[in-house]
Amino acid sequence: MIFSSVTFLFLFLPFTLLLYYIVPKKLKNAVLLVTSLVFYAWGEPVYVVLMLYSILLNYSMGLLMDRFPRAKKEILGFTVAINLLMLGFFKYYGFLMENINAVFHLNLPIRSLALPIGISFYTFQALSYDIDLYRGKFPVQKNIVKFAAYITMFPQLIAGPIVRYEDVEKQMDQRKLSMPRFGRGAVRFIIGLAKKVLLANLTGAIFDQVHLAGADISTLSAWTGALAYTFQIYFDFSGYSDMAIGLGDMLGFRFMENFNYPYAAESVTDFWRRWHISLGTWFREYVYIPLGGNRVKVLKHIRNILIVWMLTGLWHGASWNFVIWGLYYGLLLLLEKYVFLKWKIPTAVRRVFTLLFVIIGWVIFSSDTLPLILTTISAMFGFAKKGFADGTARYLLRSSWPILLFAAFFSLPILKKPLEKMKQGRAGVLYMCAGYILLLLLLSVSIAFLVTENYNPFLYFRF
Amino acid sequence: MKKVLLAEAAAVLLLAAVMALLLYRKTPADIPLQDVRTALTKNAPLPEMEPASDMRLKRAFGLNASDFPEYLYFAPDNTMSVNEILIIKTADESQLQLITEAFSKRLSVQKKNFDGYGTDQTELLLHAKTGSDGMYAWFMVGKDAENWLKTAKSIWEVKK
Repeated sequence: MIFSSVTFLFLFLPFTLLLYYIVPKKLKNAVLLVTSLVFYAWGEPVYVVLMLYSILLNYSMGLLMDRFPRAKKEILGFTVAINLLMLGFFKYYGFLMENINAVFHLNLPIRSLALPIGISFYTFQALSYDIDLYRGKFPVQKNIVKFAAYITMFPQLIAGPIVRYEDVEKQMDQRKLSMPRFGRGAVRFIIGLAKKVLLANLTGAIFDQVHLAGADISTLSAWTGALAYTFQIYFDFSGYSDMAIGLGDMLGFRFMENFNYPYAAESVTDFWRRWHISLGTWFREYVYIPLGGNRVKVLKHIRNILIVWMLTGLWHGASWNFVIWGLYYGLLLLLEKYVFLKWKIPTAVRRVFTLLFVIIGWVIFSSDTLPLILTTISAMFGFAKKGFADGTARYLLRSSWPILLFAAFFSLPILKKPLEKMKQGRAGVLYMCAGYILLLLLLSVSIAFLVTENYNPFLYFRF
Repeated sequence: MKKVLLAEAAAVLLLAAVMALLLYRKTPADIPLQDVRTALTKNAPLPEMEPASDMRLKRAFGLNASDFPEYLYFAPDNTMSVNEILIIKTADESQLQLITEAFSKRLSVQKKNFDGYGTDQTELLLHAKTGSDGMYAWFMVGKDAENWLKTAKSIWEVKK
């Protein structure tokens, strides 16, 4: 099930919230677990089995680590290996076999496996529990319902943010429900929904038109497509995160922020502090720092960065463009650390160049094949088959510039302060009323779009 | 330590059972939809239908072609025809629910379009074949819908 669907908005969510609020405190985790399983099974009934196995494995291994502290290193190794085996098998098996066949000119049969939705997210959450339990950051969770509710929690089950157990440990036992908090959550949810339905879907439609043309594009089309995708992926994913955080608030949970106006970043390093923050934090905590982080010699540091970024790329999908995209960022971060940051460059120039590198990154990310990456980037820099601007490009730009302009406006922190004031209730009565009318309007328009549009998948579902 | 080893062995065995359950259920094979197209058009052209574009898919079903690895779409070739074949190969099973919703919406719109005057068309729409199997979802309207579905299934069905 997805948040931006009529079934979720008018059936699942009201029923879940009603049930969640009327049951006694001690049953809230059980309600959360059952509704989360229904939410997951709605689109993917078969793979519930895999998720239940993951819950059972990580829960029981946690208990074993607690019971046999002298063997906890071995138990952790085993648990991590099984988790990675499951993730690797379902996500990377086809990719691995294709490459083995290609390299060794073999014809080994490839069984096509459907990717269990959310597997990358819930596996990383489970791993955070295992590793931090091993590190002694919190006591073992002995209640299987609470543990299962943590793994399956529907607001962030499918596309994050990746919630570390450490961050919600206390909330699993005690969380505050209040009307102001529920209201804040609802506001956040509506903003996320509007981001997805009004901005991501519309910019996505522009990108689709360019994408359909493949390599047969002009420079202007290539830029329009790249910009459209840049906005689509931001509003799609940050919209989902907003909805997840909003739902969390409604249910009494506080999840970590996942985005902080990434397109206003002053450097690539800064961009990654603002984009998919929960994934960056996960890789830093569980891969980069254990490898030695930056407190090692230069060559080892380069190795650490490249490993982390190759894994970050691979995490996004079993495809070479993701590996290239990850390594591209690894190299950019190294260049920035060892070369660019030593230069004195005005902030505005740094922002523009960062955005340029990010846009090129999204071209790599969104192109399925290496030739398409190369032709699109060449087209962007003047080597286009159709010249600088063809009829399609002119039409695209004429019909889509207002949406792109709106998207640019909302992707920058221009409205940040007024929105914060509103969230904290410090704004004047008139201002608040105007804000709520705007929210109702956004909700109505988003629903109107949802009713007419049939299919609204989130881009990050496939990861 | 013995208990730890036993628990680990049990975890491995259970994983093997889960994998077996997931991998050996009866699932359709991943075949190129071109094979289905060839089989459907082998004996005779499809009546009152024509191959349709991504744009037409979007207009009729509200679906973006780029969201799916592959699809096969024959749309009505005139305004009085309701004959239609759409088969979509999905990227993952989570797409199925939304595709099913798109199919129901298309069917109800078409029924509304022909309600009251197109009795033959309404009859065909009432017997439309929609459904899914593994990674495939289909929407078929026409006198031969049942046979088209049988033909398509014979291409991708593999008994495990």
